[in-house]
Amino acid sequence: MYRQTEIVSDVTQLPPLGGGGAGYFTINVGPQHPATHGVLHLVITLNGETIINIEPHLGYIHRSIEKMCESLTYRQFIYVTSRMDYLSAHINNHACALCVEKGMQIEIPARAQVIRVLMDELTRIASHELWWGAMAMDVGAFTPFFHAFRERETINDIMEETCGARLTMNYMVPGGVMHDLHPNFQKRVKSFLELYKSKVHEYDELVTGNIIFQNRMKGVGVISAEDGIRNSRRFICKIYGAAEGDESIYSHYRTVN
Amino acid sequence: MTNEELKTKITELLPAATFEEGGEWLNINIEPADWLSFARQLRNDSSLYFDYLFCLTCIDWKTHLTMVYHLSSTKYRHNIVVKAKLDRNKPEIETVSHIWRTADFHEREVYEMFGVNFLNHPDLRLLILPDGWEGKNPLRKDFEDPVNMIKL
Repeated sequence: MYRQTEIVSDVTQLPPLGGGGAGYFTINVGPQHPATHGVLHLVITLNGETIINIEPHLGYIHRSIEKMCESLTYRQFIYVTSRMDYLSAHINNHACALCVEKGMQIEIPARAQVIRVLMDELTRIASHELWWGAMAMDVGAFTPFFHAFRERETINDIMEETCGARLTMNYMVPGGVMHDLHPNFQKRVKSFLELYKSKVHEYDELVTGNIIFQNRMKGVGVISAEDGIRNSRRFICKIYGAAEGDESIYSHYRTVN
Repeated sequence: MTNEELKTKITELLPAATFEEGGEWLNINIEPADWLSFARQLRNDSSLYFDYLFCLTCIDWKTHLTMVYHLSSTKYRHNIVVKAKLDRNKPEIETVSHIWRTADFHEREVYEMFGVNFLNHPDLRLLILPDGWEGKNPLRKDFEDPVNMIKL
């Protein structure tokens, strides 16, 4: 059961804000809020700008995917995996397809394997474009969002040609991929890569090299390597190259960063 | 460590454990009562060092429940799967949330979805389901909800 958040009816009962006292402040973010990027309710206790306690209320957009797949075939289930993380549909399709193939001990054709990896990598770039664009927007910079989306749209166009979809691709299936790549694929990916390489330095100037952005972000939400692994925040661990010992699975990411 | 080495090592630690072969990772079947001390050994033994619990779930087999823990070591890069069979009418197992913190939320999810009681869990309450949801466990195979559930 959720703990009921205390609602103070008498305002005079609240501890004083500022003025040296321990003025904790409780705010509700969400469920509908531009910064939650989805439906998430957070009850946050603040001391100034520092979060003292945070209580997430989840489940608003839980679609019972686990229950659904009890009655779907593996082939049908691919369509559901596209919607798990709709920014990286290919990658989720891939994971599901791999799982089925591993279980049934099927080896898929080499060409399909290569196509899958190409699609995954393009998806990953597109997903990151949205991430950093929205991140910059959340801290108050609007322009980077458009730059990020220009690249993201280019990738989506490439995807659309091959898979017929821009978001939920359903392209990878157990046994391989739905059909071969579009004849334009190679040409368009090459021209995209040229465009992307010529623009990357702009993003650095605009966002990551920007002193305002840096001041806003540095030291915020720091998670130690140990905490990262203990809480199994794999994604964060990857970004910050968290690990102990060079044998670790994250050492690669550390050298990259 | 390879699966064979892991198997030898784990047999030393817990002679009662049985193994399933054939998969990519070593599957270990244990008794629920052994789980807490076994988990501590898996985490703290210097040659095993399973510091990363990357999946915690439960399976309803209609006759019994099975708790499934996927463990990985970020130092040695070996993985194992630990399974414990639970009584479907009174499923109970010790919590491991103080060993791997991620288990805190995952155990709450298994608690509400399958009705497994995690003994000594610091904060065992509903995670995703709304307030006032009592008794029914949605991921049990016999769960029925004619109003909200579309039969596929």
